Amino acid sequence: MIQKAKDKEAPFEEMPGFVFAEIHSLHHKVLTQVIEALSIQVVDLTIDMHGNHVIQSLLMVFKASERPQDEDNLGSH
Amino acid sequence: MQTLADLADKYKMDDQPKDEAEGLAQVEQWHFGAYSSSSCGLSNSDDKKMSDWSKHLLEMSLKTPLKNGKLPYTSVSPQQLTPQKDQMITFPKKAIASPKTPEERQSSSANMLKGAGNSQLQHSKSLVDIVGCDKLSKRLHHQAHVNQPKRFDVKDMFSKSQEERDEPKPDLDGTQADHVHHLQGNLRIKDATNNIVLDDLHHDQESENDKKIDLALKNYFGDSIKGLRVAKIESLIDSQHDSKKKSDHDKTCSSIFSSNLFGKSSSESASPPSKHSAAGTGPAAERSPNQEELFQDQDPKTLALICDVIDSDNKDSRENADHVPASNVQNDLNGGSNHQAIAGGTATHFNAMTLFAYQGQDESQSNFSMSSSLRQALVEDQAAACHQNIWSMDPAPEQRNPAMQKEASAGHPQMNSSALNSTLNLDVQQSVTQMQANQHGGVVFLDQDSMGQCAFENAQTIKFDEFAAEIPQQLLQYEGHCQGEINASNSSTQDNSEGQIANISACEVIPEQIQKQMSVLTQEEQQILYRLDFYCFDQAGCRMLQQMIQDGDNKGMPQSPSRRAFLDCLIHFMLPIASEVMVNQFGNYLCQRIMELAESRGLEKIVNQIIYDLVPISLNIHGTRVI
Repeated sequence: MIQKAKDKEAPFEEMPGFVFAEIHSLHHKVLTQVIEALSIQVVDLTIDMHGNHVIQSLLMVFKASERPQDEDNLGSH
Repeated sequence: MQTLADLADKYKMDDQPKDEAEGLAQVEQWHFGAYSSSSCGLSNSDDKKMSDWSKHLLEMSLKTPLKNGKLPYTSVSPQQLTPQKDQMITFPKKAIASPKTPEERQSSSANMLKGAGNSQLQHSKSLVDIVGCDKLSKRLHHQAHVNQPKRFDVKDMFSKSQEERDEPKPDLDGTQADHVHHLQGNLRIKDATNNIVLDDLHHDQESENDKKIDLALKNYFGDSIKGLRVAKIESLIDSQHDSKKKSDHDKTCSSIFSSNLFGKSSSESASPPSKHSAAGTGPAAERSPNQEELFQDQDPKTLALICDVIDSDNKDSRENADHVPASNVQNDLNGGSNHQAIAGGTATHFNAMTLFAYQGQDESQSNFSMSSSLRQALVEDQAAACHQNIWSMDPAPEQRNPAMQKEASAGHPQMNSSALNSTLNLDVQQSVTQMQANQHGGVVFLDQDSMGQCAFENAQTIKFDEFAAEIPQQLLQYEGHCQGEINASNSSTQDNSEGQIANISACEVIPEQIQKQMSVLTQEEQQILYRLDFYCFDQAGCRMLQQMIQDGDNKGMPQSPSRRAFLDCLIHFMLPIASEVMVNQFGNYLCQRIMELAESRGLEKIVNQIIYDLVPISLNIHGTRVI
């Protein structure tokens, strides 16, 4: 049973025994690249009529819950 | 004159008031209603609230004579509403019609991406400089040079040639002599050392000696030969040189020809003065390599004598030229004589290597004669460098010509476009060059401008059949890439943007994994993959590709191996044009479908490919959906 990360002292990925799978490492790498590239011109993207949707979509990937009043999902911390 | 009141009387209605005062009030009310509905926004019932100014306007309008007996709806005529010409706001017409053909759509997408990317890239660079992010700055600087795959673009041969062709040409009267010298500054003959370096013929100030030379040559060849320069290649390679010097010489010769023939500027490739030169040792060091000193002792009479010698050799050269294909000897600069042959002038840098080889019969004119060993070495190095660049892109070493394996062993990892350009141009004319260089070596006449023009025209006359015939068969079998390249570039020589995407990294080596997956595919599917540059920008083509990768019969089920193989191959072949496809109005749907179905490895490839175009794609109306 995976407990909530907020109950732990360390982040989820830093918990002892936790190892990224290969596919997760790959996704992590891709996400890091994308964020790194987008963060350079995040202002331009935010105010652009098309680019703001990209920022929104990216942020929604890391949403912790569906609604603000809901509790955070497991592993979202 | 007919007034509004008269008109109102004329169009009296049945329920009109009978007395005049009542009729006038009715007209006022009716007319005020017209005013109110048009300008004031008031209804007829608001007549009681009519201001003094409105009443004044109404009275004035009632007194105003009417034209043509028509009732004005408003007091402002249409002519008054129409702005004057100087006040009119004109909108520029569309310069380019909306793209219709796949090539136009392709080019528009590329330009769109490019235009968006430039500003963004500059901005990102400035941000990187400010922030000081080393990692990003390295990537950004790495983007334009290293990370971008080299694409073989045959079209560049023509486009660059066209650019050079558009350069201002020196007139034959010598009014643009500086330009002539500027162009000739690319030429170097030889220095006083063992290193063979083409002399820099550029002179900031036109010396008297040059004038004498020009005068002598002009007297002999006529006005059309203005700009002709006589350069010598000193015979410094003698039997006393050891093998090391010989190897250095070979390398230098190769660098000279490769630099001039294969697209580099000679100034870059010129060998720096060696220690041997600085020490001033050796017989060659005593002789100055500069043209100034070269012709300092030569008077016009001597030059005229040389020209006579040349003329005597022209007969032989004409006879030899009979064996040359007519297409290769189209340059009739010197009064229609056929003794000139383009010695490996490339379409892009033909100006620097338009050589004419003549033989100086008189040994006393050793300055104008080239030793046979040097001449042979130059010819051999020229051919070797040419074939080296050819075979360096051959992935199968066992199929190489054994005679060329030695040169190709130290070959380049990847063939560049200039190499192939020079190769194609050189191979066609190689026999001519070698023959005449062997028989007429000695004085090298360099007429860059006019001969460059002829070289360009001559290069244009090379048909694509000859073009392809000179390419080794192995290259044509290179997974069909080259054939696709030729087919794509053959029809896209006019538009710069056209065919740019078509060149899907012809010289890239297909990974073994992709090759295995391609073996699963049918021949039709392979042909489709070779022409992705067309299908990815076509509406029907995109739909077809989506159906091919969608594998609709197995919804919810894992893809069949053939579909999976096709998807992997599609991703691999689409990588060079992924950014352009994403911003395409049809291709973005294909990209979305690919990203839905692709595995993580495929996604990683795509992300790595478009990572530098991520922001421009995100800002695009089509690309943002893909991102």
